[in-house]
Amino acid sequence: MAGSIFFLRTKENNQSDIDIDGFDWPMISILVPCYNEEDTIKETIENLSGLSYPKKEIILINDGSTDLTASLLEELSTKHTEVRVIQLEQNRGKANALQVGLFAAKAEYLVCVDADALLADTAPYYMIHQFFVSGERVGAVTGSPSIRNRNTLLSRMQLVEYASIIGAIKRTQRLLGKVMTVSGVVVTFRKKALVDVGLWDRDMITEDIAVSWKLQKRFWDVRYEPRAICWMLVPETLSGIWQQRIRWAQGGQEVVLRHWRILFSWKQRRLWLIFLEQCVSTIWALSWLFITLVLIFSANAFQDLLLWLTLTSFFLVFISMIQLFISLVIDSRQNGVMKYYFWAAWYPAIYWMVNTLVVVVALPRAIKSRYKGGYAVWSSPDRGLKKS
Amino acid sequence: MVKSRSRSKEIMIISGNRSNFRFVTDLLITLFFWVYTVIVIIFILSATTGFSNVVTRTLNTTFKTTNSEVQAVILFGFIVFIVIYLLLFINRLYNKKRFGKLTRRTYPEVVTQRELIALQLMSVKNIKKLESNYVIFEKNPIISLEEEKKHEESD
Repeated sequence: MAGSIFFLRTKENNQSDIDIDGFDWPMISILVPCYNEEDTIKETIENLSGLSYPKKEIILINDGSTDLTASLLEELSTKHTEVRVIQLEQNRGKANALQVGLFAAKAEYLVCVDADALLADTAPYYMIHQFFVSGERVGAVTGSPSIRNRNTLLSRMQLVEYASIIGAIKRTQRLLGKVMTVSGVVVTFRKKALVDVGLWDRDMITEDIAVSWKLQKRFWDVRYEPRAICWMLVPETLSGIWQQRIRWAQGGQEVVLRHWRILFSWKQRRLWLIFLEQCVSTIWALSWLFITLVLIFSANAFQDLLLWLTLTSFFLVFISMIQLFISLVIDSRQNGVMKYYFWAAWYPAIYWMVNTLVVVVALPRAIKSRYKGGYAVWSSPDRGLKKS
Repeated sequence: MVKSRSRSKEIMIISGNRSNFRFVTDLLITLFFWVYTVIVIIFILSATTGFSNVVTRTLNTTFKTTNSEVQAVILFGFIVFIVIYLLLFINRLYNKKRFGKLTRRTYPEVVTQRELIALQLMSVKNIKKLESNYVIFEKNPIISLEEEKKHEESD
């Protein structure tokens, strides 16, 4: 709360709008890794081709899809002159696809977009502009995802959550000078920075979290640009959300297990708080589960089982609702999400518990993955409702 | 002088079909959670302002608390908020004073072909192949993770 209000007062309120027509915009390469994207890829490419950004190429990397993506990409490459297509017949994961895309890219600035995401027309301008405002150390600029499918309870809950997670947390982390992760759905990288850190990690389940840490360890800045809106789809089934969250939690934990040595380096002190936040979240989740289980098994009466009706939970709900309110008010300046506050009531009551369980389930997977190694390949995510 | 291009009002939001039954169910359960949330808010605000009512009396009895204890917790939360805000303010002042005027680095040069080759992740032949607009790779053009590990160890 304090962080997002402070960020708003000191940074966002002081930002002047950019002069789009009076700036010599550099060329950008838009990288779109695709895996089984036959439902969404056409709309995405039409959106990207239609962007007003003056100098751009769109590189589609098909990562061994098993559906009709390959033939669709071939067709799209003939239809749009700025589209280039790389067909990989072996599926080796998103990080691997992005690496191939980097080698193919002609531009120094790489805008990485998910195959189910649509960019707002002004988004590339806002992100690229950051590299030119005292941006000699900027390695990446992450945009602000906004949810397209808002029709179900789950998607509305996620809408509220995104304003809280992406908005409030990223704003606060930026004040500390480091962020936990860029948003994989929309981020622009400086190619030089990626080459400097050896590109994306192919053995980490969340390549966006992993590369954020690699960049920041090498003292490249990662900035957050709330005005760079990217429209995305979120899962609308419980299993879809569960799998997605397990992946995120595992990715965060893998980073903690890989980069723990930063705690012994004074030069990396700005990363300590972000690192410790991740550790504390995991410990909190484990403690919550442990205490809940102890209370359930030692309860003598039904009243004892109503654990959530405690004074502590009352305060947590109270603070959570204030925090969500402030986050939504701030995010509403860009995308008008305030009206979805009604659905925030679910968040402290149910969502926390689900997220806590996710952290607990992800932990052994992260440890196993850390020792096992190998390619982190992807499965087709749940993209929610299709357009009716 | 800065000027901005007017933002296009893109309508990206998807409206799907949802049955009335699901809508009403979602609404009712959400309202239930709001009742809980409103009770929480009434209790904490009333207790904090020292205004006793049925909710505060009942809940204070259930939790074995008093209004002054609730006030103490709220005051503690408010102090934490102020402390964090001040710490962020001091951090900003420190950074401005210490680094504000410094331009410590020049803008980095663009990546050269040589730097890409030096990564040892892809053969020169495959890098050349990627220059065309449509390319198919039957085998992954990036070296395997095992080979990459060997390179890292030899470096």
